[in-house]
Amino acid sequence: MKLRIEELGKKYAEGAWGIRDVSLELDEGIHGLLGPNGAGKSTLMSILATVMKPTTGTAYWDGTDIVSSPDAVRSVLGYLPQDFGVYPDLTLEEFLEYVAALRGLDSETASARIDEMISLTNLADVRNRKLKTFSGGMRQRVGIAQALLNDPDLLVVDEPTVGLDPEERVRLRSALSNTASGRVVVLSTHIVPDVEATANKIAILDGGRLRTHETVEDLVGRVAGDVYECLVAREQLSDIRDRYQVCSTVQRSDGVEVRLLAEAPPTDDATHVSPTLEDAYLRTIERGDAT
Amino acid sequence: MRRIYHVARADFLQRVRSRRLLAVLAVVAYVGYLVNVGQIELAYQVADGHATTNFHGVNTAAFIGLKAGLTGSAVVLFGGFYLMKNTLERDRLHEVDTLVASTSVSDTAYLVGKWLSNIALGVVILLTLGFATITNHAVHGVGPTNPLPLLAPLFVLAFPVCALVGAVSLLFETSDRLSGTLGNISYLILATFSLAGLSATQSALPGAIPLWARAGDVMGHVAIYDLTADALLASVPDYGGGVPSIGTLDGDETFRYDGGSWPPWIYLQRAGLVVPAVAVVLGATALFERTPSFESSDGSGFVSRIAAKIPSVAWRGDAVEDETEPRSVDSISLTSVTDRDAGGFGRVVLAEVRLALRGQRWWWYVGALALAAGPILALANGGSSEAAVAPVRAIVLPLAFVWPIFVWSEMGVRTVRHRMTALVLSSRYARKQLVAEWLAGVVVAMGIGAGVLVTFVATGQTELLLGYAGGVFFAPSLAIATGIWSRSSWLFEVVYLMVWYVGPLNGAVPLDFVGSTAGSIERGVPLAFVGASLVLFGTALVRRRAEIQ
Repeated sequence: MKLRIEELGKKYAEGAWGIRDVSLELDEGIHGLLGPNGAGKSTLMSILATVMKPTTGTAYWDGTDIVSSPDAVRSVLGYLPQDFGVYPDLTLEEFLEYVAALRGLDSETASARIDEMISLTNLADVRNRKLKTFSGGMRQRVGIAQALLNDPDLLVVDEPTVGLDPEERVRLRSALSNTASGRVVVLSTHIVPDVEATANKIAILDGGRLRTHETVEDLVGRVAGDVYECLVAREQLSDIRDRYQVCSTVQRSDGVEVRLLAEAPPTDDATHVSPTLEDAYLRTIERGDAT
Repeated sequence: MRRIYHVARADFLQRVRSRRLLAVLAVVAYVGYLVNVGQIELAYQVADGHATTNFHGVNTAAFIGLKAGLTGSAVVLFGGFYLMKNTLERDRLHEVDTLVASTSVSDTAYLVGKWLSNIALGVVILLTLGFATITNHAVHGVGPTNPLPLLAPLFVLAFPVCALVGAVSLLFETSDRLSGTLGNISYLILATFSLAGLSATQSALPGAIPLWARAGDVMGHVAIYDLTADALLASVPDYGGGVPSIGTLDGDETFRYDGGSWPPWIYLQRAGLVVPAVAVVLGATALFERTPSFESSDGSGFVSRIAAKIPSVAWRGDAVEDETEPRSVDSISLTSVTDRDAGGFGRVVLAEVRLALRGQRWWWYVGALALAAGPILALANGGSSEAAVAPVRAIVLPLAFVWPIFVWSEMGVRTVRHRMTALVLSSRYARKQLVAEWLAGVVVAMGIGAGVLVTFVATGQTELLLGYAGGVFFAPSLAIATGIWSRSSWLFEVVYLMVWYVGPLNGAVPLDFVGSTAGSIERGVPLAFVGASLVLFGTALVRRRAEIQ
């Protein structure tokens, strides 16, 4: 199973490019798609889910062009769009039955998968409730359930953890990790810890262009030795921000604890710390590429 | 005032930047062309026995201006409502209402701003019509193209209609019951009824028209009558009275109207229409619910009120949260799916039928049941075939094919309205889903018309089944085609209600697609509508194909 993306580009009617010249090879496993707002993540996801046509380039699913033959991927696709809705007057079970029929599952398999997805997303108590009574987080879990319903070979999930409480986010990460085996999962988010916890490889988009696509280890390794933590006075913080890429700050009674990227110790008492994916992501975005 | 201005400005900018408005304005400009070339004519109709002679004015700037004015009033009165009635819905859709609810903008300021935006939209329509009128008069008109007599009647007559219709559309949007299909239907009836006062002008010259008929003249018929009566009487001295008509009236004879000063009562009467408009906006403020709704039941419905009276029956309509300890993700084994092309079309159809029938109000189900079962019960109670068929054909048949309009109006737009488009289009059965949706509409039509069907078959009136087929296929096909192309339901509601009103209800044979008249069946009108249905459904499939590709 492989999804190969070749020089994909999407130009909108207003003339702006959503993505441009994006080429990627996605094997089995979870591929985290990171990028700031407006980076082109949702555009790429919509094209992969065959609901948007690219302006340039194409993508191949196991060698089949999904732009000219979208049905080839639709039959094995699970998709959670960023902006998705439900039919409010259907119950959860009825809604999933509808999606199962649209995804081509037979009755018996649909019934089994619906039960499993309802358990997986922790919605068993409300399976016979109309969806209009669901909270935002519960609706998001409905979206995840429907995306996994047909046991897809290609799972495209756009911001799946939006609106979920921390407990449910952890549960979803586990569910994705457990179900990733034997399929290609494209997980788009701007929440770095979600990707760090689940993804095998990371692709970073910025300004519509692909900045990097590599393993988490390789990406994090790029900033090894460049991450420092130091305590600075509050009045110094502005100066520090001007000179370094600040990853995070923690307010303390005796100043501000700063985590930053630097090629040499920023202060005398600065200490090396282990890099994280978030550090590597910020470095990639700051420099415009991974090198 | 500043807040009102910014509410109106933001709403107006959002509107004028939509492609849909461009399409509407193109149609309006075309109407402006028709006004000038005489396809739309303002004429006095003089009946002499069975013959009717239309007297229309020569296309001077003054007369074209009056025609444009009345056309503008008609366009805004009958079409403006459906264009304006989305100002609050758009805020809900884009969740701007949540932001507004958290600000200090008062309900009145918010709604007045929205009303002004509605009026501004009407003015854009009038400006487009005015531009088309001037341009076309320069090419096709008689005499000099003077902008003042061409544009002034347009704004004096139609601007107050913009204010009034803008206010009414706002009122309908603030009422939960009138914000949907029921409101669209009710407005069409209300707009038609608003012209009822013109009946008082029949056989009356301007001076004899009662004050209440002048005051209630929404479109400006009486004003135009007052202005042009002298010119008409110069050509037709024995004219018996009555306001002019506007429409596709062939001009048989002409008279010449070169304009002149307008009597003050016209300005007063037109300005007076703004007073009820303001009152309606204030009324809307009383109905307006500032707190946004999230599609959740508020427990105010009929069933919830009944349930509240019975302690043992808990109304489970409030938003819920699951509370039990969840199963561990690791403990859940998943069934492997090997066949993802296992049919399922029948289940999609069933699901679409379920979707179509869910969410209606209780009285709709009662009415549907009565229409379906009533004729069968009447048949079971005996009586001659003719006695059984006549009332069914005259009453139940037309009603059975208008009652499901609440179901049909969702067709073609349901996926967009509930943000399900991406899910449907990314599925293997995106085309079949549209077919299933259409079939669901047909099934609902067949179900509500079942009593009619049984009556016709049981009494041996099988030739009437052609009309039944016309009804069953035409409405769902029109609904799904207009819905998927326009992405809104009002176009279907207006077009279908017009056709239904003129055809099945009033017995105009060419539009009687259900065969409620003998002439319709004899001339095969329902069969033509079945053919048109297939074409309409074909256009819907073309649209879906484009969406998928």
